[in-house]
Amino acid sequence: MDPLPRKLLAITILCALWAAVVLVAFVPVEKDAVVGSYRLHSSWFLQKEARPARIDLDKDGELRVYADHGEVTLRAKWWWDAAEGFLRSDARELDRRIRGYHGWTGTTLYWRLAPSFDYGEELEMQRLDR
Amino acid sequence: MSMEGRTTGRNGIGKVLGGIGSTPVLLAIFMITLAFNAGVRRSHDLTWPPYMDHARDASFAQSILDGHYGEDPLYTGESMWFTPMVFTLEAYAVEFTGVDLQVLQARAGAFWNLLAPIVFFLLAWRWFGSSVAVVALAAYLFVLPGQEPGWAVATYSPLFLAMNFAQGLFFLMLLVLFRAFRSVSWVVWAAVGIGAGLLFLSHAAPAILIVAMIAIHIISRAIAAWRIRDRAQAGRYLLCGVAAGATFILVSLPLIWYVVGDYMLDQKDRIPTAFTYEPLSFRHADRFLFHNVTLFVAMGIAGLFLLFRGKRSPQRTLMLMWVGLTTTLALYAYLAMELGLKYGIMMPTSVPSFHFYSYLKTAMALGVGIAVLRMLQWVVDRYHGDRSAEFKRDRLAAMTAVLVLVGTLAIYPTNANRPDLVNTRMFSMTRMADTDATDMYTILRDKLPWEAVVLCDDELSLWVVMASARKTVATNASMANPYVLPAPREAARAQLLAALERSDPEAPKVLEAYHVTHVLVRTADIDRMPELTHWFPQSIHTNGTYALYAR
Repeated sequence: MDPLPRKLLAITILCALWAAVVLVAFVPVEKDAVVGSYRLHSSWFLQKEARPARIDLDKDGELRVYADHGEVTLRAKWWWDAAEGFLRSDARELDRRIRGYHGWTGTTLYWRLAPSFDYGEELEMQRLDR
Repeated sequence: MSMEGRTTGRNGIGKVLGGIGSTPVLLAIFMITLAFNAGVRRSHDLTWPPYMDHARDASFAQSILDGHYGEDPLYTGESMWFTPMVFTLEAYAVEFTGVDLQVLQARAGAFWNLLAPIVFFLLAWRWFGSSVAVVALAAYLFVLPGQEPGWAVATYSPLFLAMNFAQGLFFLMLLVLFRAFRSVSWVVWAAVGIGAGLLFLSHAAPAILIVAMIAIHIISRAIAAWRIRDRAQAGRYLLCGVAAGATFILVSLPLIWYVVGDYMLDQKDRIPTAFTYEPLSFRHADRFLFHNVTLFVAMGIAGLFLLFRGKRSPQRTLMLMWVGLTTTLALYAYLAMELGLKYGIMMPTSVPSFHFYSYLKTAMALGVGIAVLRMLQWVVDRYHGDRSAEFKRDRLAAMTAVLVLVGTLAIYPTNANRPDLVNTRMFSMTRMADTDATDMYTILRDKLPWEAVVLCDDELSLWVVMASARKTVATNASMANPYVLPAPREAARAQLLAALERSDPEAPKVLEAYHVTHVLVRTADIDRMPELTHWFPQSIHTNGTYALYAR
């Protein structure tokens, strides 16, 4: 193949890949994709911060947070802000604490360790019901 | 060691420019536009910037728009004290385009900050070749930030802050130094001084690094020449140093005229420099390890190690200085802060430690490029050892391109949704939702004269007053003029706010001393302020959340 068509082919492929990855990265996460039971991935280093043992996001809009021994420590209402990809809740400490995005393997949720947005350490939420 | 990918046989930037349309450049465009897309998506509809740093910048930009450059927009009678490049750009952009200052601050960073990845790519190409450049750029854009905030690590970010904008100028200055290190022409070094001065006007941290590199080079070369009794050469180096120093001072006059001329750099408020990005403190070592026990850092260190044990070259010298200075200055800044806070030992301080941490991690992105290329080189040699050099070079370039492309595609969804972009947007949206605050800000800016002094609490000074460039009695010490002692102003503010709740015969003296003309309060607090209308009888503007009164 001549250099010019080869270059045009390369540019076309790059453009197609560019569009594909942008489409995947910015697909809005819908509520149905978020409903489920989760536990937080552990980290070797982030051990000091308190964190729930399990979180249930029910389809009817109820959210339950569990402690290590299985006791429910918090019940609250939740809804999903699909435009911004954040879980909203009437419980202030959980409002916008969980966020999600769409990637190559589907929806991934993250739990922010600090209540405020300032520092962003997050742990991935692992589904228990799949 | 050779890190070159395919080259055109030309030297310098011409070689880089000659490669436009080549695979590395196409990949760089692919990656930079992807990062740009994520930045624009997270900022294109914002109407208020996210951080109080933006309010500080807005106050200085507004001071230019109001015709008062050189004055402290927050404290009566004080002088300008912050690096002026970014807020001057903001002021002139507002002047020429008519766009709202806050809209510009919230959205323009995505465009202005493109300078950083573009120049970083050119720098990496010029120093280590095109293949290292594409890997380093991928690491810089998509791996380096991880979960850290965009103001704490150097990467492309839509945040329009001095620390983000100045990255591009820092990389540009490294390219200039790369050329200048081979010169003993005072003209070249005078140009270096101009560049360093412009960088200083943008942000102090990278300017400190560049000035230190210049000083180390000039002094060490002059001493080396003196030792071999080449006094003429030592004199030439001395002249280069004087030329660089003179032009640096001349260009940075818009700042040093005030901070040296008016304040003699006597920093009375050490809170701004004492700010510590939490993961960089011993108390939060777990968070530091969470962010830094990573493949990126391991590869970065490995790459830098390979470079430093290789043969001498100007880029190796510059990288040694880059890594050595950032590490030393980050540790020094943290140590000075700890000694000051815990033991009262006051050491000279300049900028918080995280700025140097940020540039250290950028050096590691180059290290990642070097390490990856060395590994791919090993693979090519292992499996194609008997083929021609040209074949192996082509194979290396192809493997690099595929690796970078696949890696970028894999990581992009995570990177484009990283906390830096998403959380920063939430800060903006929280401020945007307070439309009463914006309404009051507009009233302050448009209805009050430049000399007006608005009494208010710490939070309101940051949330509403600061961006308007109308003065206050005391603002948060982390955003205030560091050459003004914060304690007396904070005490006066506390006394005057207390005087709104109960009678204080001393209040008139304090009101006069600080030239207070207005008070800003929350409407919800008015009921517990029976003395409010006694001191400030005239209602200027009230909305659902805030009320402004005049004396």
